[in-house]
Amino acid sequence: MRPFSYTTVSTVRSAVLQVSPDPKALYVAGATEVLNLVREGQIAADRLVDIRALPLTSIRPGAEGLHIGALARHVENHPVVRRDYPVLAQALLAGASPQVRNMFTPGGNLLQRTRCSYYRDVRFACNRREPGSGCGALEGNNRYNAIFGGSDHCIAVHPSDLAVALTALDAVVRTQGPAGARSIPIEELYRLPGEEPHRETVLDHGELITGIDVPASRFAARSHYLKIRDRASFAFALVSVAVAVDVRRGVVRDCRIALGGVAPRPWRARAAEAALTGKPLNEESRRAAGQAAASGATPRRHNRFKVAMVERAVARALSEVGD
Amino acid sequence: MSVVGRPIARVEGRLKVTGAARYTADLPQDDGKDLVHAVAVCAAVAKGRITSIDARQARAAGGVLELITHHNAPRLRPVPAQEVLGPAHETLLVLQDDRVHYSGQPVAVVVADTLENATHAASLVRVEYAEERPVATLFEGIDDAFDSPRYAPPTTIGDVDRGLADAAVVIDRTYTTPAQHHHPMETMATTVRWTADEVTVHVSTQTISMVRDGLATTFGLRPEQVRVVSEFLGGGFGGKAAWCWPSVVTAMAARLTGRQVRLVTTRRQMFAATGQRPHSVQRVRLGARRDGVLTAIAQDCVGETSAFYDTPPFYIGAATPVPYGCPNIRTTQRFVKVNCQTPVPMRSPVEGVGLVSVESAMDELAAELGVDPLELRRRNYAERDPNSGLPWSSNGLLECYERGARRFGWPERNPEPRSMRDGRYLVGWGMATAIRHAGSDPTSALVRLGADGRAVVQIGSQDLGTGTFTIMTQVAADALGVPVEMMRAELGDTDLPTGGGSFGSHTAASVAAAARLAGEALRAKVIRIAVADEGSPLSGASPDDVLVDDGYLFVRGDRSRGERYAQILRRNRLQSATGDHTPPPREGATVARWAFGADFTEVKVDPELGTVRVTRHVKAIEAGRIINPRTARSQVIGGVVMGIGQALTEATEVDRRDARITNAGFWGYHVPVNADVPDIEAIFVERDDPHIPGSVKGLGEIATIGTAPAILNAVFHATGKRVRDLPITPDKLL
Ligand SMILES: Cc1cc2nc3c(=O)[nH]c(=O)nc-3n(C[C@H](O)[C@H](O)[C@H](O)COP(=O)(O)OP(=O)(O)OC[C@H]3O[C@@H](n4cnc5c(N)ncnc54)[C@H](O)[C@@H]3O)c2cc1C
Repeated sequence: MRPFSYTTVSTVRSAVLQVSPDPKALYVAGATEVLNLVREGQIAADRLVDIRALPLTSIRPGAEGLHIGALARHVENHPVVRRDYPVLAQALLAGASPQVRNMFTPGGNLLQRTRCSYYRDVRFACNRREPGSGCGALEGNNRYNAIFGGSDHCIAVHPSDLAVALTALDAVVRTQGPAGARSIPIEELYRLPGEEPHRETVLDHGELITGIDVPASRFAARSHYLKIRDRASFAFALVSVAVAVDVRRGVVRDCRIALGGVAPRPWRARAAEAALTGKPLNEESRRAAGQAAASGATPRRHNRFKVAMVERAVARALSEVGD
Repeated sequence: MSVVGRPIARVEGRLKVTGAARYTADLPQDDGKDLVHAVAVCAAVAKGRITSIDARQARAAGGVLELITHHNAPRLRPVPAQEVLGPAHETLLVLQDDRVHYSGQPVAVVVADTLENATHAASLVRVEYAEERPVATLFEGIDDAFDSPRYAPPTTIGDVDRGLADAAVVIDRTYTTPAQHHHPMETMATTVRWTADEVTVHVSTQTISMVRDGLATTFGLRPEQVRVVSEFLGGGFGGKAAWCWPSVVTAMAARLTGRQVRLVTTRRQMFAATGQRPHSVQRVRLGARRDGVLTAIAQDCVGETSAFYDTPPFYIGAATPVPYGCPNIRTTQRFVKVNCQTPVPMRSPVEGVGLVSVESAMDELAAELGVDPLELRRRNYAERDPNSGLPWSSNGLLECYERGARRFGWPERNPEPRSMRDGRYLVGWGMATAIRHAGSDPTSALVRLGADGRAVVQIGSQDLGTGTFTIMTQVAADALGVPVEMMRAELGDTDLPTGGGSFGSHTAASVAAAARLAGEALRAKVIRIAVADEGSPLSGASPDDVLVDDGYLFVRGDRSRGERYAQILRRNRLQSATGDHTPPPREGATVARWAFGADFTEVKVDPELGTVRVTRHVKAIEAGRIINPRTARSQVIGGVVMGIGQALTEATEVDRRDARITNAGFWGYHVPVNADVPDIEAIFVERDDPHIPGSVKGLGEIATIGTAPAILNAVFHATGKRVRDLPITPDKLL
């Protein structure tokens, strides 16, 4: 473990001022990711800047939507979140364990790194961790890897459950950087790996996530999160699905379908949304949406099962939001 | 009143739940002031030679005291295989040459003043390798599989070919079981102090005496010069039963630095520190008549062993001839040298692996014949041990079937696969037979009684966390005739009378036998003193007429003529006695000693998503007499949980190009969590066994044997799909 220094900050401004100019400085919030990564050597940090004292802990529901501070605690227990944004509460509850959730923060969750085996073990080649070193997963044990959005340089999967739910809710990430504040639609936060897998997000170094806005919508209240994993709890998704539907007079007017465990970022299944929109919500339309969601997949040797799993998971998740 | 058989709480329970119990990694020796920390640098490649080690940066890093590589490591002597379990001989000559045999092999060890400094410096060591192409898994090397007539001789009973030819139905199936790693909560921890006269080793081990003898041999010391202590253990499952490198390199570091050195392996290092349950391929052929009576059992296994193998690998088919009465049985095993750590036992290395295929194939046979799986097993009940031809020392298997089935509700089972449902879930019921050889090890105990009437029982064995302290206290209290509160147990120190290992389901039987002998010897000794003591009311009585109850000694027929142990001891000083248990020899045995069990399980399968949950499990066990139903039940719960992991979640995944493990952490190696574990019920069918001291057959392994195949069979019953490649993850059922 590299020695590093540790400081705390109490204002957003000083946080940004400390981290932005120093390429070896890193924010730390709940530390459930950072400490593991620093200890195992996936990331080299000389300086950790603890942001837990920043006033970014609020959970504010309102007519415009829901605001979640980057450091909000136990969002999944908030009664309004549970009632009006069930997919969000369910996704959080499906993540990690109660112990980890007692520590973690929404901002840290969005910026957690991939769980790809080849990234996590520094003895393996990984373009994401070490640009140009190669990708062990392409021809290796890629059962957990991406079937959408990968490249010849990286097929890592983004592991966050929260991000998948937020993608189905059109959430916007608020940030503060040295040049000022920005609003980034969650889908645009993550870059696809392309030729530069090590550039994981569009954030500048030192750009701080201050909060997340979930706009009010007609589909948020009728939403569901389904996560399929190798054991009953405390495992990352093989495939997960967030669905949100607006059904009026028996017809789907609008919907969102996002997938987890299948791509380097939360994966919006637009073809599935199109297949479902305008249709009644029934077994046939659910199955068609599932098939559309899985279309265009490019599985590898060990993750072909994910294609069928996506089809069925989408249909199942839609069956959970009623007819 | 007897305390053996009563469900008393663990005697060390309070220490553990309050954190007062100190485990090896918590434990500073003396004041701990001179304690320093060692961290191993492990090989990045799985096969090849080390061409250079650049340690300049590491040596220059803060706090570094020593850096050990094969260039400067103390020379070790080979440890003969019969002295230890697991990698022996040349194979544990750590840091002796430039050869790399498996990924994760230690190639350097850094010692520094703090753990953080040592960890950092270890990350700065640059090792270059001349890499060679490894054999990554069993499958890569299967063409070179070899026999081992010495360690795994084929078993042949009758004529299997004829048995198959005569059969009305033949089942011929191949199953694979993955490599699995032991994951006790406590990783491997060792602290060593090396002085001119003595080497003191605190270590998390299942066999203190093996560590003592192994270290003495490898460093050229006399065993008396090495003291090994292991007071509390956070589990082991066999992973701490073997001779392994962490203890050796810690001792090296202590010798070179003259400091007290501690090494605690990381969770990632646990995937190469001690060895694994080996990957296997098992082909089973069963021949049967129409009524289900078996005419032939043939099992041909291939198992992995390490590339630097020179120790006995397990013969996973060794128990295959035992469970069913069948005139024609043949088992064979071949081995493949793989660039992995040497396989070591994991909670039943033989029955727990080799019977998975047999019990699945029995289920396939039942389905083929349209016979109930339980009925099929009953029809093939073995009246004597088919392997040795000997009568059973005792056998409660039929009663296990009977009581387990009744409790589970087995008769309600609809035999048709996919016929039982609970809402969207398919429900499956499966069962399996479990058997486990019952043995014990030579073990000595010492019981000492003081003038305060308090006694202590000491054995140089150890408590894995299974309840050894507790049962030993119960047995010794009864044998001496004192209330259990007056007896205290001590374990885990080679200064105590020598005990055996905590493995092989031998511990309870060995420890109980020795504690009983010592307790009874001391009781007899004190009685002799009392009857010869003029100051005692017992003076002049015949020793045979003196009874003891609750610490009070009195003459038969006259309870008023007596006194307490404490009173006798006050006049006669501290007294002690020893007891030596010698197991009955295996050669020339006239009976076959086995424990028996039957697992019944229910699964619910989501037919669309492929997820499986075990929803209830009943396990009936005949393991002779149960010393403590409470600690016994907890063994069964742990065993069933391991079986769930074996059936559904656990597998060590290896990259087939470079033989490196790709899921070396809890994020990727899935042990069952609470949500995977249902209500588990244990039924103990008790038997007196005149051929086993105290009728104690041991529970450690029978607790898990049978669980995985029962689950596999239940998944088939639920889905109609037979998965023969463990574990059954959701993708295999899509
Ligand atoms: C055992 C285990 C199991 C897990 N299982 C799941 C799971 O099933 N599903 C799931 O979704 N997640 C899972 N996680 C991941 C967990 O959700 C993340 O570790 C956690 O959300 C990270 O939050 P944190 O506050 O601890 O982040 P930290 O560890 O403090 O930081 C993580 C990263 O985010 C950066 N960061 C943190 N806050 C900000 C901010 N406000 N602005 C800019 N950068 C910031 C840090 O610099 C760092 O790079 C698991 C984690 C563990 C350890």
